[in-house]
Amino acid sequence: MKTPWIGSAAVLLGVLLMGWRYSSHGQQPPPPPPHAAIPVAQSASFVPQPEKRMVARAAVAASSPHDYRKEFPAQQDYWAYAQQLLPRARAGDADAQFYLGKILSFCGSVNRGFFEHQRQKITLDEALQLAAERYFSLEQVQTLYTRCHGFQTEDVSSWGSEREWFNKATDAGQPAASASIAADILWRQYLETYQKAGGHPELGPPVRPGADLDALLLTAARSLDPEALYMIGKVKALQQQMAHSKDATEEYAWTLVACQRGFPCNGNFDWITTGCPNCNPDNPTPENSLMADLTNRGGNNNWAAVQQRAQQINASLEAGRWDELGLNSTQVAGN
Amino acid sequence: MESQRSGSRVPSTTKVRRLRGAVARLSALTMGLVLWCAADNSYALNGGIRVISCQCQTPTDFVNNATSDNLQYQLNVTYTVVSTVTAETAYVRVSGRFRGTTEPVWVVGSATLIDASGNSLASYTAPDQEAIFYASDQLLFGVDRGLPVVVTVTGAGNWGTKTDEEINSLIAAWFTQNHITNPPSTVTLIFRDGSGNDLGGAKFSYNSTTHKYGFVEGFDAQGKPLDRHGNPLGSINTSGHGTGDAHGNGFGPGATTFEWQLTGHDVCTGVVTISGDWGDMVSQKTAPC
Repeated sequence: MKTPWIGSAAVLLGVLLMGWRYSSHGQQPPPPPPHAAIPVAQSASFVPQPEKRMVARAAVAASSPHDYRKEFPAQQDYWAYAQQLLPRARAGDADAQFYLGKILSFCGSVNRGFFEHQRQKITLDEALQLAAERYFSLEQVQTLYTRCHGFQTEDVSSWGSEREWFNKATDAGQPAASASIAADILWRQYLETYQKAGGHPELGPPVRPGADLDALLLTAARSLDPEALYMIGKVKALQQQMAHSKDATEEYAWTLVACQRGFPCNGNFDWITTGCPNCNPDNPTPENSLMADLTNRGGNNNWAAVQQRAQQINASLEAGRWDELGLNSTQVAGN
Repeated sequence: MESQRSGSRVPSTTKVRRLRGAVARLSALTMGLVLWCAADNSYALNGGIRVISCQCQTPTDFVNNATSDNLQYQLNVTYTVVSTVTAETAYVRVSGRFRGTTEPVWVVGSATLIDASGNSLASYTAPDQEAIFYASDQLLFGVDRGLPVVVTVTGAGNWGTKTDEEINSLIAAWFTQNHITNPPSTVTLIFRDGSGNDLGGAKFSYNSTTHKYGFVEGFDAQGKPLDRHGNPLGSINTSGHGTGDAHGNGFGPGATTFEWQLTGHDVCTGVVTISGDWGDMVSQKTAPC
């Protein structure tokens, strides 16, 4: 079921690491070619006016000379890569904006989680010692150090925040950024529910004032971008949590669709080793890996239902039947 | 969700009705004062609480049970209605009055679902109302009754001095020790100093998109609310009276029994007792009263 090194170490890393919504793929074979531009253009006639603007921008973004879906997974040192991304992002490259935001989010969390103790920076040796006490994978901690150490030693305060870059990328119709912003909006709404119940969560500033959650998700779905589809699965997980439902069919179906369309769901990608505790990197196919995750989750969830729903989603995506995707929210408004 | 119950009548003896009439007036005055005070501390639930339980599943069930109880209880109060069949708790503000002079009867005028700040939930959809009930239930009991997970942290201060990442690290280490691979939706951390003294606790909820727990509620050793930084949050208890109790089971593996008892005047104290696979927990909480 699981490789020895993954198991519980994976879940604690997964819990500790934020940012596997902005999944970092690690040093892996490149995923299949992007699907984004052509289907978006084909489906433009289904798109309402405000969305047309975003889709047009997405098409522009897709014409970037850089293939980030190949470029990003090949990176070992996110600090070095971020320095390449920054000027591109500032020049308006929406994909560069998204990946820069993703790196800032990931490394910020990694450094606070692994390379600080009681709010003070610690050395790699100290971090490894602490990790051993907490049963973390030392190999993984070493990898994270390589990826993010530069952000701990350099001042990046003038770079802008991850949220700013995600919002800029969303402005330009970058689909994975749109879905990530949608997830942030939903999480804030979830916390607001606790506030209404008498809790005191830290809400932070509004994510994207005036944003339309449904439109953001639709932008993500129309793109057919695997990373955006994966994020829709995460949004579905949050909606399921908000409704305190045990039925994870939608979450897994969207994730399966993302896997089938090229999102890495097996192999030693970072999101699998840190964000998918029951996924098995050694499984020969992404589907098997995801099925193992669902099976280990327990409950009444069954894989056949997930497959069937994934089939429906794929059919709707291919046919451009956006209203059949179940992306219209009924219980969320504003942000 | 609001119900008008003007036709509901319950006879009362003369002595009792005079007493109850006086209490009702006093209660209304107290409620008014407390609501005024609540503008500062945002606890509109202060000033008269009655805890009941029911086999409630829908918002209408919660309202109907509070109304039904109030025909006997005959005071203007805010009900804390705990479901025994699902992990939901609703707050229902019920107001009524004695009508008639020769043989006064208690008439319930309105029963309104409210949030913890006293705002009406009438404009919300039923799923949104239930989402709030679910959160209210977790805050009342301090755990998710569907899967109560309580982690005791000893000798390391409380959550106020720790970053989110440090908190998540503590939770993750506990998961490893307990072989948990599927993160539960909520985790309650109870902090103790090196001598075992209670430093209070905090509840964190799981963000399935970031795989990270976020703070939703904290309380000190006496059960008074604290913020993310461990600072006190207003005065939860001004004046008023709280009575009632709720008993129920959990709804998932690891949850067996729950008890919630609220008693007192001026200082209302609730005691939550949980017995389950994760270990027993007795937690004192100062409830709105």
